[in-house]
Amino acid sequence: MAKRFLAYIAIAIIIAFIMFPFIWIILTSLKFPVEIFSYPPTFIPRNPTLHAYKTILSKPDPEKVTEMPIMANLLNSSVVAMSTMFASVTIGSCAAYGFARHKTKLAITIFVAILLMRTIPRITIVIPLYLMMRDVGLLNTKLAVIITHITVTFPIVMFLMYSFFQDVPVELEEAARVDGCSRLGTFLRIILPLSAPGLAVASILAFLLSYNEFLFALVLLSNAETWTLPVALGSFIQQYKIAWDFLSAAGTIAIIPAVAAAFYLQKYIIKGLALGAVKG
Amino acid sequence: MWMKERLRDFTEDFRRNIFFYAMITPAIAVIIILYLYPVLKTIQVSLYNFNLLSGRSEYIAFANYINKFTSPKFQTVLFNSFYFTVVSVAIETVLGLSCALLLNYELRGQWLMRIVIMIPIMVAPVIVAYEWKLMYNDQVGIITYIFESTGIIKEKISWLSHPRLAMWSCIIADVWYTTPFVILILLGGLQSLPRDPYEAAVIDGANALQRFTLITLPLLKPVLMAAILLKAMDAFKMFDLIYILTYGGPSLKTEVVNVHTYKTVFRHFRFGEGAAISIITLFSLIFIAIVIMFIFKGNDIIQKIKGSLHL
Amino acid sequence: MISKVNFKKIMTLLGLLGMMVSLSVIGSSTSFAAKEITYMVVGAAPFSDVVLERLPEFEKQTGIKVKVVPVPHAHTFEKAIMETIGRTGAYDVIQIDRPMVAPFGEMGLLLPLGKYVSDTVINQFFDHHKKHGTFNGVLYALPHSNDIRALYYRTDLFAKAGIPGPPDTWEEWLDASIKTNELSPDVYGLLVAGFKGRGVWILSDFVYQAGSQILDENNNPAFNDAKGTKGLKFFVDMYRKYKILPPGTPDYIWQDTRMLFAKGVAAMVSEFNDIIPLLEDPTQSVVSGKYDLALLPKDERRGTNNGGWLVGIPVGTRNPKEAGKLIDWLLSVPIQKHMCYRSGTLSGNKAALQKIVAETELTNIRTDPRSQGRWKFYQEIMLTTYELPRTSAWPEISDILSEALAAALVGEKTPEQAFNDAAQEIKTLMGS
Repeated sequence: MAKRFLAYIAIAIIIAFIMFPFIWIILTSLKFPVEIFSYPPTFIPRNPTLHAYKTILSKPDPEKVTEMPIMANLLNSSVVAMSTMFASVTIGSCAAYGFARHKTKLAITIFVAILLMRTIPRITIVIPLYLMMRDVGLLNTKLAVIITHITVTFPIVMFLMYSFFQDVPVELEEAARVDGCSRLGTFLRIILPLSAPGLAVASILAFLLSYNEFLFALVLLSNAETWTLPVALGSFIQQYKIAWDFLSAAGTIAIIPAVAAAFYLQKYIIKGLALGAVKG
Repeated sequence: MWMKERLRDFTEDFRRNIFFYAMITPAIAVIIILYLYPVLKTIQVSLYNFNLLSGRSEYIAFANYINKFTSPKFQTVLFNSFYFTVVSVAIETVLGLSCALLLNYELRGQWLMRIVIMIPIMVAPVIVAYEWKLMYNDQVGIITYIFESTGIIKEKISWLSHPRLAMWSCIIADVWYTTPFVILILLGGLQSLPRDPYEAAVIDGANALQRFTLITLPLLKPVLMAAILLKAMDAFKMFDLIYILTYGGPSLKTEVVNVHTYKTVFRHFRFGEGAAISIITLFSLIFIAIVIMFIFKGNDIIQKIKGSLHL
Repeated sequence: MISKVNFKKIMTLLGLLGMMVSLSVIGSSTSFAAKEITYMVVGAAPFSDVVLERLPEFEKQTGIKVKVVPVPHAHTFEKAIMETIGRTGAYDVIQIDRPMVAPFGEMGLLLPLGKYVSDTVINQFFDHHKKHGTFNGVLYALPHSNDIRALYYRTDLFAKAGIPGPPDTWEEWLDASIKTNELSPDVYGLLVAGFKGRGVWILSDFVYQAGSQILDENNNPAFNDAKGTKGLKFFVDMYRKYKILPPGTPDYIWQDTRMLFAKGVAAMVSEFNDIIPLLEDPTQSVVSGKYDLALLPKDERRGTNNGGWLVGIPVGTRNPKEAGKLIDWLLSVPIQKHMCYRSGTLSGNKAALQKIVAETELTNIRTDPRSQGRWKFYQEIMLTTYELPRTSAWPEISDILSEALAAALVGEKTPEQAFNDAAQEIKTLMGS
């Protein structure tokens, strides 16, 4: 029993450490600017205020032409991230399975080549990609951003799922094949459910990578309404002022779609996959 | 002759394994259509001295590369990047693995635990970077407060401009932000592990430490290697955090490759040189990947090489 | 043989996917109506925001609709460069800052203003402001706003330390800083920004005030002569020897120095004209009513550099005439006056400034009690401004100088060494 208690304490401490920067952001969003810079720093706001949230949720102010429509930007980001996640996870896990179960020299070369593509810094890639998108007329569309995001995220998904698939014993697959299951069926009903936790992690990472991605979104999109969340957050880092209260409030609100996506992933998709395996 | 044989092997292989090639095709298509052109263009541009401003571009073969490798500034940059990578990843792995093991302990409400861990990494990196800059502020920052009130320092010091502290400040901020990623990946791995070996081990009377070293670690190897490799590559390519915290300062103490690339392309407008640095980054990352793979699969690789040499 | 449950799950997923794809494709590209132009501005900049409040007037007057795109401040350069290099026509008028004029001019990314903006407006501008937007003899951009620094000092702390008035020379400046610094352990003598480009601006001030300059007429480094090095030494001594600058100075950005001065951390700060609203805001400042402005002290001569934003027309635009009309309006006397009154920034339009000084409207400038003398004062400062080198190599020169400054401040190199090394690098750079 003591061991269990100790474990709980350790877990609580770990979670407190990990969550600390995030808690700080939430608390900052409830403070007035003068308190944000007070020394000694205060944790619990002395005069908690919701002014930042009120302003953010009512943006854009029709009087103020130069404010970013944050809620619209948030929606853009969510759409882009969801699409990226689905596409990237599909492409990535299929490819990972292919490479994991078929290790010819050619396959390995391609695998490594795909991973290496990611190593060129985005700053260098952005100019040719921008010109490519311009030439096909996709500038300022979400599709352009989704496509570039897929390119950037699926190698990670692929690499992660590749390592998770290694842990699935080949005997299980062979048993299924013997039972008359097709290759595709084995993949869908045996492999995927067994690596469901890995799939969840890969999906959420793909989602987050796309959701918080800044450079391609800034460059490929050019209007306040089409821009995504990271650009909107950047609007609070101003020339002479960092609007901390609004920045933290926007940052906190921004987490909600991501948490919702993670929640949905964890509870429904994974459970669904696992159930499917049992029934099939 | 030799090419024909290879082609024949490939078509034979293809016909027999259509399923696998079908699985791989979408990925290859994406890469070829979207990445191949920019990457090849980068390689090409790196052989010229393309200046964005004047538009002037002359073929100079490997001059860019030679200049970079012989410049003490760039040598510092490479050293900083490797240092940052090794230290960050080492700390993150140890912390991440320990936390993941602990969190794997309790079986109830696992999914809730996972979501809680995910929350800090959902915060946009730009906010995290500016938040840390504020926390490191020498007058009003939390870090200053903690060190001053506990008496560790007597007067205020600058965390981001001190030549020896600056790099560590960046490392700590990165570790704090990235460890949850590592925990997440390792936790996923731990939870995919089959139960049977553990049950057998308990029956055989193995204790917790033995279970860890003889079952968990070996089974976790692929996932551990994947996590370390991914995070090492990310650490080497670190940009946002350092750009905002120190911009490579003070006096190049924290200048890492991507900050240097950014300055070269967008501040100095030397696109050819920037492309060359990108290719050097590519090879550095290959080097890191090889080192990591050797550490994990050293024996396997040596066997494979031996085997293929005898073909 | 997919079971019913799985089938439903797969269908929902496919449905979601389809919805995502269609949502992403429809309604995202913009098409330009015959008379609609897009104006790229720096986001959350008071000088621009207050002007855009009156945009409906422009639209009524000319029938041209204006779509405003606010870009986050840190990324205006990248965005402006990409869209103009791509010649996409996404923006018809853009805002750029002074260091950007040379790169844009050299890359031929802006249209010559003379063709599209009325001569009346152009001739209303100060000569030196016209120069700021000129490259190779062609006028590409005109200043919409000007940010100039002054010395803000705490009258209460000066009184306590027994200092009669604001410092006029470097000796007095050092003296005042040391005296106020000793008043209390929590108060420093002076605040300046030291982080990358901002540190270089402050350093350039010192170099200029000492009687030197960054580059000479032949674009050779001139800052490492005796006078320029004296300027760097002044900065370094304040930080290391007398410790009147806070330890974090090398990584302070303007946000930091403002915030810290408003919190009462120092007796003086070298800051821009729009710090006043912050200092008067009770929720953010404790120094309201306890400070005043003065010219930055001189050594051999007085000087500070000119910041602010210019407007220009990028080459890809499909509506250059309408763009010109917008610029005409933005830089016209009534709108520039409005900008000055409402945001406190300085205008480059001579006629507008003359009107401001002459009119009695002076007393209506927000809640600023210094408004009467303020415009005359800012005119004084404007007479002392110098220009940073207008070359496309400036960003790189700035980075080199920033490294030299940091090396000297943290004690890694002596000021002479730091400047000589930097001069060497810059010489190689400019020679190539």
